[in-house]
Amino acid sequence: MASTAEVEFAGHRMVLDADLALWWPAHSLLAVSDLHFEKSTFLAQFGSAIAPYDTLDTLKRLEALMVRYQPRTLVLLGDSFHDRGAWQRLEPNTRTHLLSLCGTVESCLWVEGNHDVGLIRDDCLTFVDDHVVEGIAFRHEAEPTDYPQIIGHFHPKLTTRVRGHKVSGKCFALNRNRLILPAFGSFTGGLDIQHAALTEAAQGEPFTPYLIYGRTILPIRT
Amino acid sequence: MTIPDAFQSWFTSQGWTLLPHQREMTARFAAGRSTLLTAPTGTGKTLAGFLGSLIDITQTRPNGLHTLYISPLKALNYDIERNVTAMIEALSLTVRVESRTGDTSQYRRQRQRAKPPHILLTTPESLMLLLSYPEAAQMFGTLKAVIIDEIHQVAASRRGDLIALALAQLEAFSPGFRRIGLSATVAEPERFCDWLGREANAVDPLDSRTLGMAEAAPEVTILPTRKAPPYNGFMAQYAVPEILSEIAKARTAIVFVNTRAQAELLFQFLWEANEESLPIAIYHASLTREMRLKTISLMAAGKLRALVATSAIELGIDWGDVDLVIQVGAPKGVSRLLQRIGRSNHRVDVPSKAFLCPANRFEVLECEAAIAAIRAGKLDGDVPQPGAQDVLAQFILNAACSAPVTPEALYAIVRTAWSYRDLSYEQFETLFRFVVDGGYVLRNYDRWHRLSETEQGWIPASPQIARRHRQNIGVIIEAGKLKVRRLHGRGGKYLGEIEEQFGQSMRPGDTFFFAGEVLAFERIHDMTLDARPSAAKEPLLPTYSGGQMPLSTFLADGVRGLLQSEDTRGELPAEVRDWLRLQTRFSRLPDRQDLLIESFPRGKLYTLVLYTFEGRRANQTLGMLLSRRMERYQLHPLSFTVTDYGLAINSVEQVTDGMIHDLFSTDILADELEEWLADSPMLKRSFRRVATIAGLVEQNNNAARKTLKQVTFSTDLIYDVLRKYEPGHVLLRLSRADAERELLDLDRLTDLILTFRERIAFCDLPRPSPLSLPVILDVRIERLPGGGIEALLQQESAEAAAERLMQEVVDGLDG
Repeated sequence: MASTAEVEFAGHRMVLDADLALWWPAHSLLAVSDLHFEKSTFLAQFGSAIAPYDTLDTLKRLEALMVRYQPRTLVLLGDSFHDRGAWQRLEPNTRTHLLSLCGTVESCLWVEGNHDVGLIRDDCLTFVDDHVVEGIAFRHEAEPTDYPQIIGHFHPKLTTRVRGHKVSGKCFALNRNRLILPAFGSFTGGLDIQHAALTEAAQGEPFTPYLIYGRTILPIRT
Repeated sequence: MTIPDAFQSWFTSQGWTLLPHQREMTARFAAGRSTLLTAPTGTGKTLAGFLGSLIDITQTRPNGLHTLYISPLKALNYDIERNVTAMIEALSLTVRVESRTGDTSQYRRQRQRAKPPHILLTTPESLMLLLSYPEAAQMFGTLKAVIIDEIHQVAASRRGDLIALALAQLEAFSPGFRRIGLSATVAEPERFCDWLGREANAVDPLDSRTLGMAEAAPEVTILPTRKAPPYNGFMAQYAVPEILSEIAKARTAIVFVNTRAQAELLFQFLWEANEESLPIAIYHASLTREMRLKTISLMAAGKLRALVATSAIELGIDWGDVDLVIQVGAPKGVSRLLQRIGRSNHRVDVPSKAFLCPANRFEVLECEAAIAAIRAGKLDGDVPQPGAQDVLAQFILNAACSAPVTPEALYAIVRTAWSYRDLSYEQFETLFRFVVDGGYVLRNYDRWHRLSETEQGWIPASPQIARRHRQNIGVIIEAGKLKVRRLHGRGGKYLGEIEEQFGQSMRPGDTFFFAGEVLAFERIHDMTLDARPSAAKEPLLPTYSGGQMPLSTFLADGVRGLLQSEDTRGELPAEVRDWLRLQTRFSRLPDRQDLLIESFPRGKLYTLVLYTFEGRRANQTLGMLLSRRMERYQLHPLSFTVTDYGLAINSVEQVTDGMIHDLFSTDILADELEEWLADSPMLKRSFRRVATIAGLVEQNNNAARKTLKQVTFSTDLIYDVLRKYEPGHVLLRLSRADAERELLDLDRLTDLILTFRERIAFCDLPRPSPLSLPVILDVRIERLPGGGIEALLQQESAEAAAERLMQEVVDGLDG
């Protein structure tokens, strides 16, 4: 089992899971971000021979998390699909699998991300702009206001040295008002936490990164 | 074979006489025979290679491409183009010569395809590109000869595989052309002849030395210095005064180093001590082409007194009147060293002169072993191996871009290459399937074929696929690069390229050496790193990748041999003798009979040192395997260091005599290897290389520079997913083979374990032995921690520790 880290965000106890998910025990809420379903087949359209197993793998990892946490609420924090045609390209049984997984929770919220805009889809799938719980907004990208927001979009990652050894991996990024989730999709790259876009998102209050290495998570003092 | 009058009278007017091997090569050309010519530098190898073609072109006046010349370096092509053109002009021949490289203009490229010159000079990659165009069959249909220069440098590599496949394809276009290989030194000429030829057209070796062209043996000695070489280290700062004074004595010197980082540092050290302001320049592959060309022309014009250079200038370019070569750092291989020494003195009858400058005490031994080998006329070096299959995957798509292909017909062509003679049709078909659709079994993927089938055969599914393939031809995988621009006012000047990873690690104000000056980082944008000149004296150091060369087995054995014999030890410098004498008294010297393993406490930990002499790669693998097994035995290994000579593993618990046989047994190659390999960063690196060459991921995509950023992600992710869902995929198989061959040196390791498992000389010592110091204190790491000064500081403190530990040994023995 993957390791977890407990954090306090906006006065609430939350769990950061090294399997790239956020668990909010008080609300039985599981959140993952940036799944980028069907990224491999998107690339394949342009002649890439990349292995087509990313959707399957992403889904299986999500399923394992659901089995473990048995959440009442599942939040998919946007960019769940890599491109407009992704839903159509899902293999029928994969699509059924995905929908049945969403059916196991009381409420499943598809937050819309920039990649999801214009997705060609069936009626069974509806997107929301945000989902607010106890004053905390789950959005894909942050609104430039002060209230606490849990977001995705950035795919934060980090390279650091631990006792002289270079370690690099995806990470959560946390400050007083923002909690950024790492990208969950199997074929998702990352943006370094030092990147200007992330510095800007921090709004003057530096992020504490929680580095994920293999199945271990640990806070990094920067 | 008679030489035509026009040629003969021109030679006479120049005061030249054709040398025997030049005559023989011309005769063989006329007879349609293929040859591998080995001849020392400065014996007219180029003329020997081209004369047959020039005569034939003059006499037959062919319409179209007659001779193709392939060299591994663009710079070499320009050099040859100049020389051959000069000869053609002097003789007023109607022969057209042109070069075709990555730098050739679009206009000229198109003209070359429409109306090819008689002689085309090119690189393996540019040749592959030409072969990918529809007019390839027509363009190469008239070919009469292919010349491959510096064959020793390319044949035993993936670029060699690229050439081998190109030759097979050319044979299909124009059967029976002559194959001519040129080289200065080759360890096993027969193997290279096999590689170059084909069954129906054997290649015969020709060694100019057997025709009375034996060169005077080079005079190679260790540079005498006032200060003794340190126990460890890699920059030879101790020898800077002597290097400078030799430069001052010589007309023009080349100072060779092994890595680009070493070049930058040594260059800096030399200038700091250069009170006479001798013109000394620097040359390595990261500098811009303009800067490199400028340096070359200064050098050729005799305006430089010394050049600090990496292997980027090893090959046959004429560097003007060089009369001294200094090799700083261990030579790593005899053939490589001879190649470098050959850069000086292009006269055959006068011996070349060279100094070796070992960076540490252990390297003294390696230098001595190399000198002994040169004296004995022995050579080492890589020989051609079975061809890499990822290169074949690239070739399959390349062929399909030119004309429709069928697996059967293409297999028949590929099989004619010596490198691929043992490839089975099943293996080929698997690769072909990979090219067609990725070769994945779990999912029907046919909507996105890269090749589609027509009545004539398979062709690219879209023009875009061919275009993207052409942008990514090649087998050299480069780290991401940033252009370095030195800002000046509003403008700036491009100085060269730097590894992206290194650039990303900098913050504004950080300083670093580049192109021989200290620069301060400003910002990165559009793949360009902007920097300003800085007055700082303590810069960070570029951590250029590359340049790590494994020691040749042959030289490692030479070092072991030196240690074994009283007589040879007697000829070593006094401080090295003292050091070895102390080792004999305290522990023992490694020899050919047994494998010496020492165990001793160090601080609160214990260190195990194995003197394998098997090279860094094999030692690194052994270190990984042994530490895994030590973990299983609850000895809690913490870290290990490797050198070419041995490895040292630090652990919480001590390894004792009773355990060593369990640790060092053949089953570590089975048990630990399997579990370790799958997760190792080495295999992931191999996968990255294989996946890039085979075309799974792309290196270049000019059309979408920006959007590429969105689609690129680490090949590690693909590797993990593929291993989970399709562990039998062809690319996983290939990367496994690649890692085993190129990174792990498993063959060497297996031999070592089989040879020595019952012959271990285990020494349980109270403290570190003198011989262990270069191993346990090794800071010679390619990736320097922090900055250069930090590395120097570490070296300083390591040197102080070495002195103290030596003193403890002396005290212990006396007490």
